[in-house]
Amino acid sequence: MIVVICGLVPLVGAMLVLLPVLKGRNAIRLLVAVGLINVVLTGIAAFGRNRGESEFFLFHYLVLDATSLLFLSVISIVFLGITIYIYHRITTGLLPEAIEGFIARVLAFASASVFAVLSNHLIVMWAFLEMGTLAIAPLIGYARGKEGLDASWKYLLFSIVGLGFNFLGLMCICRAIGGNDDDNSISLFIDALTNIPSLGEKMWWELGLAFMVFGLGTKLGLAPMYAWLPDAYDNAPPSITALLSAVQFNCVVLCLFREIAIFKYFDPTLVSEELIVMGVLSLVIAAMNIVTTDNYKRLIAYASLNHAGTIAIGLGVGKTAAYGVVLYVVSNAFVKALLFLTCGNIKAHFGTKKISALRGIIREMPFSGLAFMLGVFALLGFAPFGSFLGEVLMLSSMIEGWYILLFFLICIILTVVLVASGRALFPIIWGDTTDAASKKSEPWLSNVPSILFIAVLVSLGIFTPEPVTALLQEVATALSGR
Amino acid sequence: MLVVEAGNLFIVRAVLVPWLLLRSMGNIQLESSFSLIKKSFAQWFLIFLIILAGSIFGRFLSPDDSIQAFQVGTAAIAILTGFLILANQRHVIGQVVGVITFEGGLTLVELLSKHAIPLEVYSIISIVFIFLLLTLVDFINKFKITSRQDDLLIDGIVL
Repeated sequence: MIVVICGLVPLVGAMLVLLPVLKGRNAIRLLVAVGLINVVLTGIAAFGRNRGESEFFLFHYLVLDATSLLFLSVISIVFLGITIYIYHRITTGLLPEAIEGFIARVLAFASASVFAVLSNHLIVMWAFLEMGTLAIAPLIGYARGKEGLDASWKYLLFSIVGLGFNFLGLMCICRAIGGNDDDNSISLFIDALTNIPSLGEKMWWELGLAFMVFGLGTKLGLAPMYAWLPDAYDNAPPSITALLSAVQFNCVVLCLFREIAIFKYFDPTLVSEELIVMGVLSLVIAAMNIVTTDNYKRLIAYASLNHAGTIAIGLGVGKTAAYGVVLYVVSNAFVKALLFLTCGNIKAHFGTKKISALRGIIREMPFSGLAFMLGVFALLGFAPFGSFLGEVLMLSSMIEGWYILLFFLICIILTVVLVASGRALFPIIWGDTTDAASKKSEPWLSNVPSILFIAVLVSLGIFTPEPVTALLQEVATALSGR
Repeated sequence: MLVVEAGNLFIVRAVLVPWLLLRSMGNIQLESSFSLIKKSFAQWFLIFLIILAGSIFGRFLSPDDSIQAFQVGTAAIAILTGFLILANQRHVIGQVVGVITFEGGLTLVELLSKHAIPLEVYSIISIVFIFLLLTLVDFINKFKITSRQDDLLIDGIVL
């Protein structure tokens, strides 16, 4: 029952923030407290869980299994880091103090995300994803004027359409399962579907599956429905970009994991082909835009598109790549949160997002520069970070599965991304400054989230504790399906 | 269950949606400045193609059941029309109309499902739809405040 409280705490927090007693700094303190409580509750749930077992709550609608525990842990840690960052921004006057509405929406989003991760019913999961979207959409344009409003509107429309397609797919699956007889007892509970012997009418569930993958692909920002991603990530405040790229992204990936684990058994090629095509297309588009952009936040947004594409390809390749995909997904949540929050610190200091205007930040902002450097290394898949290991495992699975052409294509695209990103981002870190660089002390609080994320990232690459490795393996096994 | 479905259809979709939209569009001029046929001939033709495609799709999926073929076709037409409106509208109100048409198509598909959705899940779907409406209205209001009023005129709506 602890995990249910984990979802309820932010919801109660959101309601409390709207009360007149919790205004200003108290509301911000409450936000950090909720983040902290969620990490503690997730830790208790993790220690209390028996390996290989699933616990069900609230009439079977929520589940705590390996997959939900892993994603709950990831989003809880990331959320805590983001709450500390928001606290720092508000206390240093970088965000207005009267932001109760902002905090209430962030908390409502956190609650919806926790429940989406815990859902054991496909429609309930869809509903929580949509609720999370509705909670966070207005925040993308928060204090950003017309441009920000346009970006948040675009995000909202694409999300509605994407989730709409996912819902349409679910309805087609319902039609397939319940179409042949009068038995309405078959449900969309994930655990029930995992053991279902047949999905009924092939035409309907194939159609449903195609819609679901396309819909979730839109929500992940995969090509061809990626247009919302760079605008939303670029225009949103750094904390909101981190929430979108590390928390919401992972909730959608979890939904995709669940659906793939169920339906891949019935038609492995349909899912694989759709995912690989969307993934390759995303990689190509990301690479082209990374080469041309002059905005470091936008560059990282396109790198996120690149990651989404790599994950889609990894999922398409299948069983052997499962562990690599899981490790890559977890690592990338921390990489993106680290980079987007550091981008916020850099933008606050230099007042620009232009790559050509920035040089040698490591001299002027030693800690943020270092965090940015480590984040870029992890982003580009350098050792010893988890993303490196995940990428290597996925590539070796491609060779094992005889996806030779795909392997070479991805190697070429990843090399282009590596060279283009390095050419743009390395001078920002080490380049010669034109003005005399003034080393400035950074507030310690602004560095806490970065230290937290770097510690997790390095740990995933160098020393992963045995329970975490076992959890990752359990999720990979579940992802492989029957 | 039927009462909840009827409530959702008649109260939320037939009363709440038009009321909220009318309320949020209250001070926007609704004068049409487009030619009904001439300028938007391509749109009319596209709609004709969508209706044709929807009907063929319905017939293809349910070749032996003409009622179901008609229902599936209608849902497909609504979804595709919503998509078309979303794709070619630059104005917020036009895009909201597209979203609601798209959502209407989804509701039709949901009602066609022989599989019984549990009452609590159905209630969650309705709550999500109400929140979606409130968010759309919130955005319309923000656009009204932020941008020039001219941008919000619905002269771009051609359907």
